[in-house]
Amino acid sequence: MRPVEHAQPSADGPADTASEERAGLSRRGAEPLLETIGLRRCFGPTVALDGIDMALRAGEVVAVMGPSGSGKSTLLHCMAGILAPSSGEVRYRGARLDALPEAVRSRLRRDDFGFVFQFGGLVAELSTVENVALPLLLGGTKRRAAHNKAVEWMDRLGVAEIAERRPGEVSGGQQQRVAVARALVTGPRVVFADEPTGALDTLAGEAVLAALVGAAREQGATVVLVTHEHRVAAYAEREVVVRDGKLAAGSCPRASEELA
Amino acid sequence: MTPPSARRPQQVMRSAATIHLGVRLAVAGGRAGIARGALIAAAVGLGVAVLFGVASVGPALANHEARAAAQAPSCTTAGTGVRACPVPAGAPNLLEVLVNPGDSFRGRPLTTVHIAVVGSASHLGHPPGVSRLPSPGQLVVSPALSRILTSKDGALLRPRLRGQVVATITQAGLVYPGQLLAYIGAVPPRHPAQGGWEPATGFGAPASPYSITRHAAGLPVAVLLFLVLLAAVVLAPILAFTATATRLSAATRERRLATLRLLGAPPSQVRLLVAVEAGLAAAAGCVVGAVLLLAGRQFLPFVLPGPLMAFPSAFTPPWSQAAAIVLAVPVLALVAGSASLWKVELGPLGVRRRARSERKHRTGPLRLAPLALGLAGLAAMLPYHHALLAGHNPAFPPAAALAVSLSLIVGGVIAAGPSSGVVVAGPLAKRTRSPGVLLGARRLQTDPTSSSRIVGGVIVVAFAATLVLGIAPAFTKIVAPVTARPRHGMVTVISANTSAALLRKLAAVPGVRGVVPVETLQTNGQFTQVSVVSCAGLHQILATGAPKCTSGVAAGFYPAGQPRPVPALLRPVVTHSLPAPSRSTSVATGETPGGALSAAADGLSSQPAPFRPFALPARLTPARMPQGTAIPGFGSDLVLTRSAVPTAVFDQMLPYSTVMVLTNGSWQAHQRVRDVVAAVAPGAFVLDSHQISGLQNPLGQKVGKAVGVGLALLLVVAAAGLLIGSLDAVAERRQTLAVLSAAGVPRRTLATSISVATAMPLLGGLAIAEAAALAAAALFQLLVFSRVSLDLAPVAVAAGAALATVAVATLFTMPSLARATSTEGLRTD
Repeated sequence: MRPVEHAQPSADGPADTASEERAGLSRRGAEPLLETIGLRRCFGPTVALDGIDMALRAGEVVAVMGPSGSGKSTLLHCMAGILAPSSGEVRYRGARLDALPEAVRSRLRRDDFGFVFQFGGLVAELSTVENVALPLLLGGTKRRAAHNKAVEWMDRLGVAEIAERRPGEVSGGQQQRVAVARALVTGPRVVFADEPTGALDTLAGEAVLAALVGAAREQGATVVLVTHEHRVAAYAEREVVVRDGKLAAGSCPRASEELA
Repeated sequence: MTPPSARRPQQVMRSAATIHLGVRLAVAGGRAGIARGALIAAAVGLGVAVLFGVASVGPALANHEARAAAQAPSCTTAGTGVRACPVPAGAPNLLEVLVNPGDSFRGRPLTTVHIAVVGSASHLGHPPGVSRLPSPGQLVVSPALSRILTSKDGALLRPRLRGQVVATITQAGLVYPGQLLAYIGAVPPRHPAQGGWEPATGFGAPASPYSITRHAAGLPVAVLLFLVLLAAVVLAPILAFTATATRLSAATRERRLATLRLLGAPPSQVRLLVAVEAGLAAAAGCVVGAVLLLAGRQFLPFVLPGPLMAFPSAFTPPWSQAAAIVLAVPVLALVAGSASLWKVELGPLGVRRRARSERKHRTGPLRLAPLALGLAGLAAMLPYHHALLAGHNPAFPPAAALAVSLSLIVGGVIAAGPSSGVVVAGPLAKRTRSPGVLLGARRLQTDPTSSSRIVGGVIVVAFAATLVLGIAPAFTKIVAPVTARPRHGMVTVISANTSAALLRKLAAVPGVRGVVPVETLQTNGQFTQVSVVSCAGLHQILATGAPKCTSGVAAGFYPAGQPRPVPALLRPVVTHSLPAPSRSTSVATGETPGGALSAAADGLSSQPAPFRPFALPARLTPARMPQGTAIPGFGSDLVLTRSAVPTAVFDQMLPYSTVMVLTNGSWQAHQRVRDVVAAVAPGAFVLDSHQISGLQNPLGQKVGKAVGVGLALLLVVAAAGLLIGSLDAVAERRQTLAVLSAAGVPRRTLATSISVATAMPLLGGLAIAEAAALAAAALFQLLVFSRVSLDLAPVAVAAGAALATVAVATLFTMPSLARATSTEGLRTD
């Protein structure tokens, strides 16, 4: 298993160990990086997730599969601390995510997590390079440093030539690669990808997936890949299947010993 | 652990980066973003321009006063501050000045100042803007007057402006652009006191009630109050437009905020970004406002009434107030930007407004509470009406109390719109068979505020128009209660030097149809103005409704519909002084029909004559009096025939102190009359029908036109807001509309749904707005005039204009609907 610690320091410099400990985030490598325990999430009378137990270790790529409406996106949102569980727990490096203050969860999303959604979610008013630099800018990184880092990542993902264009001026595949660059630019520990190729043709989808998984592995980042396509899931090291809010039989809720 | 002192610079750095990002987002929005920013800047700019304009009124008035005072003859010895007038007999050097502020040329006030130097002119001051005093036979005139004199119309001015124009007055010597002013060099008069001449040592008196530019009644306090009210009402539609502009592309903007949250921006950071964006737009609005003021003030002298006429540069807000506005508007925008996210959850998955509970819908009628409170506030001021009339406390009602009440009313009108729409939408949706109406009604029920917000600006303009137009006619009707239409042409001449010779000359002027001498008696009793005229003259003056009057029979008439005395608030702030004091007769109290009057002559005599009682006619008949039968008041309270006044009293009057000259109404005839009067009695006070109309309409024709133009402009602003809001609403719903269209819903049905969703809050809101405006107008009139004179025509005009505006704007959104319902609309971002 790859080390739990980041292969590269975060864009802000060394991680603020003291503040992470204050926030209850463990740095012990032996424990799962991200874990759900009896996770249940309801929307009114509808039960979207019903007692999900699963754990992710640092550096693994996990595909969450299931039919439409099975609850896989809800699972991703809960694991990312976007949605609070109705009951149960989501633990990130040993700390309960839902117990963390909003400011800490925002910081986690900015520094430790990266997101790639079906539609890139790029800010239309900004150039693509500004979009990639955005998480760094929000974190207070100086503009030039943020810009350089963004260009570096765009170059690694093969979209440096469109750095000054706006999202509306580039193709869907390029937009998604920009989104991947934005997700990885802060050196996150976990990348959440929700149907990242859902709006792309097969060729473009393959390219984006290769870029995402390749760069994440290079970074030592964990990837949670929500998809309903087996072709996409093939990029993962293991699959979990969600059906009617529960993990289906045959899923691998924990990483194998080999992976660990 | 990071110490707090180390974290602080990081937080500062992050805030600076956030502000920079906010600036970047504000200026990098592409075409849509730029359009939105420009609209917000324009909307804020309009509001700022109004605020700047209101703040400029004070300096403009002060400038007018200061320049007018500078033109006035001065009795202060230059440099010493010691009053030297009245000049002792035999003083070697002084000026004799005869000011005639009541002259007019084609409705434009003309001031003539005759200046005669007694002794040496070396130590005497000269008027501002003039390098030297004119010698006899010389004229120094303003540029505007110079242009008239050299035009073909100048021939009608030449007889009373004899002499050679030797110089023009510079801007420093004028009160406002286009002022008609002439300094006429004259030979010292033999009996200056009798001719109305005044001694002076120079010009430039401290603020004096004898300002030569005060040729007409000044602005009554009520008119100033009305102007304040007007400014407040004008701001409301501009605010509505601002609200529409700031909500443009709301969905796109909210998606952007959600993305920022997803990327780890905490809510406080997102709020800061929104605030920076709003602050930038407001700052740009301040610049636009300043530009609008600079451009608009060039036209102000042409639309404002006399006392507010000043050079454009005078309409400059004081630095303190301008700074306060420039600072306050962006700060308010920052607060408003943050407040717009109140009750809004900025989540990483999207922006959600906290859902309204059913309970809130049930409390919909509470939305009428601000309206009721505002009207109650106005009503609560009514008991102070008598204090207003008596003039004990002319400052009441305080502008703040009036502004609060009015704000509540305007706020109530805006807030009540959605409720009215929702109330109707439910039953309509249940009963209708039309799918389009059903769609529109249900949409209105689901989101009542969006549609109402779009039509809010138009509703507020309709409210403003009805309120302003509902109050404005009352000024004329109540201040000028004379019921007869003015004689087509009439010139009133008041002078101590009137004579039979003057009457003959006047009768010979081309265009003159009759000359009627009228005596005027002053009193402080119930009848404030008493005129004495012959029966023949009375029949000649009165165009219609002439009372039965037989020569030689004592008779008395009072104007039909004579109201109670003119309220103190409506009395002119600036008192008018006649240049040539005419002898008048004082009449003591006791003026009931058949009662006794006591009259005494005064005026030129140093010793007041004893009062001589005489009986009023037993019967006083109501009659329709024309305007201008008595000057300087606004109409005669009592007209007596010659036979009703004892000879002993009548003989004490100077003959023909007032002459009514009836003309064919042409301005040329009026000018010729003025020329004849100027030749015989240079100090005479001459007033023609055009000026009388102006006196009786304190708002003035110019103000009336300006109000009309202003309301039309406001409607354009509101229509722009409506159109932009409607287009944006269609754009935001593009995908839904495209899906409906693809599913087979006819475009006509969708058009109907949009029209219904717009029309219902409009109709409901209009009904509430018109009712509120009429109620507010009635209360305002009661407060100021103690009577109500409402005209329903403005209601029809305002409502019709609002409906037409909405219809046109809705029509303009149809091409946009056609585009939205094409298959292109099915594409997602």
